[in-house]
Order: sequence, then C-alpha cells, then structure tokens
Amino acid sequence: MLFPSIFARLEENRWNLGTDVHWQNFDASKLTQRHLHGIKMNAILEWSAMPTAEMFLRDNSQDTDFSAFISIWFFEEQKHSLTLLEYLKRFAPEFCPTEDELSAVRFSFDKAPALESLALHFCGEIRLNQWYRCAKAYHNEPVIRQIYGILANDEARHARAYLDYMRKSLETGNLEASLAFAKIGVLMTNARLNKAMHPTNLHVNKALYPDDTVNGRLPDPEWLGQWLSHEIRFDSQWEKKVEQGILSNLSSLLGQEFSDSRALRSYYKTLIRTATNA
Amino acid sequence: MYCICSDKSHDDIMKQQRLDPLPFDSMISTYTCCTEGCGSCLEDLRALFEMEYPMVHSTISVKD
Repeated sequence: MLFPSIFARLEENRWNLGTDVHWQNFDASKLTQRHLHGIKMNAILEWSAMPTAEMFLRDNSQDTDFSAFISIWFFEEQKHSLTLLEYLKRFAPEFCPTEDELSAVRFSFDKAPALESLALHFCGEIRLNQWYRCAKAYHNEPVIRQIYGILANDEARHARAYLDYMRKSLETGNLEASLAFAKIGVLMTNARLNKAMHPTNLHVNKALYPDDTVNGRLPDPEWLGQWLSHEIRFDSQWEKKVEQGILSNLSSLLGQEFSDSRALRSYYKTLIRTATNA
Repeated sequence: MYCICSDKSHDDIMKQQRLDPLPFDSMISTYTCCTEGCGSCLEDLRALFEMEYPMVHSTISVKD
C-alpha cells in the first residue's frame, strides 16, 4: 500500500495558507486587471478538482489504496483554489468568482478507463507544474509569484504520487497498464494528434457535448489559450520541458528509452501488436 | 527517474556529481532545484548517492 508513505511525504511538505504565504509583501503597483482575471480563472480551474475526485473515486472503487490518496489530492487542489480566492478576496474582491461560477465546473464525467485517467492526470500535473512555473516567471507581484511557486511544487509532488501508482499498476497488470500509459503519453506529448494536452480541455460527458470541458465552462472559455500564448507566453521551450518530463518519466517507468514522442508512439504500436497476438 | 523541478534525469544529476563530487546537501543545492522545488526526488537521490559514496556519507556530516 502506497498511501501511508505518500501521506507522510506530502505531510512533510505541508504549507499553511495563513502563515506561509507572505501576504504582507503585496505590491498593488505590480498588478493589472488582466493579471487578476487570470488569477480568477485559475481559481475556478483548481475548483474543478471536485468532479475529477468524484470520477477517480467512482472509477477506482476496487482500489482502496489509490482512493485513499485521492483524499489528499482533492484537499490540496481545493486548497490551491482557496489560496487564489483568498488572494482575490484580500486584494481585488471585485474579481472573486461567484459560487455559481465555481459550481459550473462541477459536472459529471463519463466513466473512463481508470489506468488512462491515472496517466492522464500524471501528464496533467507535469504540465500544470510548468504552467505555474512559467506564471511565476511572468508575474512581478511578489505574493502571486510566491503562490504560483508553491502551487507548482504541489503539482510536481502530485505527479510523483501518480507515477508511484502507475508503477504499482505495472506490477499487477503489465501489458494493460503499459498500453494505457503509452497511449496517454503519446496523446499528451503530441500537439498534432491532440490539441487538448490537458485534462481540463478534454470532452468528458457525451450527453453535455459540446458543453462538457472544464475550460468551456469557465466564465471566459477563451481565457486559457490567451493566457498561455499571449500573457505568460508558454512557448516551445516550456513545452519541451513538459514533453521531457513526461517522456523521461515514462522511459523510467516502462524500461524503454523514449527520446521523443515518435519513439513512444512506435513503442505503443508494438504493444498493440503484442496485445492483438496474445 | 526524471526530476521535473530540475528538468534533469537522476542519471544526469549523478553524472555531474561524478565529475565534481560534493557532499549530499551540496550536491542537491548545486546540481538540482530540489531545494526550491517539490522535494519528491530527495529520497531517491539520497539512495543513489549512498550507493556511490557509502564512505563519504557515513563519515562526513553534510547537514548544515
């Protein structure tokens, strides 16, 4: 069971919203309306951990170890949202999302293959870690810089915990797990195959289509693309870091060297042939 | 393993360490971003360090 050691690792790095964030360092002169809009959108995006946690618990009812971990993951993601909400409440209350805006990103996700969801969120956490690192570099206001740094580290720890569960899955269902992880790795490192690249961009409920992505349910559905491309400028160099983080960890996990997405795709095709012939 | 906070594999970190060996804490602060990062890799890196430098680790205190 991984939960006790992951709990200890995350507990060791626990930070306090009231005392560890240096609220007193706030500098209003280094903030624009557009910055505040971005902070509001990220607060709502973090709130969408709620339907994701519901999905994980539903789709992993047979896995008590992983379900226990989700209790911490959910707590920490809601804390991220609360931290950004607290920032807005203190310094720009007019930007605080309404309860209806937060509720809009809580909707039911269709049932999904548990191993693919696991890999998807591993990749998503790596991406989010880099987004927040990029956001930290972009902002000049000291408190939001510190907050994005704290959030980036939490997301990296989550990626590591998901990776631990992926490794555990390989011990019990090698081929099925390898197929799921390679498939999602290919999708999440190849923008040509999949423009979504993050769980919040994926369609997750057929009955609600096309209103079934988390990003599409934000008060400003165009915001994420704008924020990445024109504000924090998450360019090809940052993208490369995401790709490297995913491919290198999958290389270590699957015992193969994936120097690029193409190599992973080729490995995935080999796995499919093996599964077909089995 | 790959440290996403340092944007380096554990192998690359240990390669740098082999080229210019440092006590564990200095290795972490010099060759990684773990001090400002998430810290998840520290346990694994310590294990790699102890495998390669058993005497150094057991005889020299590296705690600041």
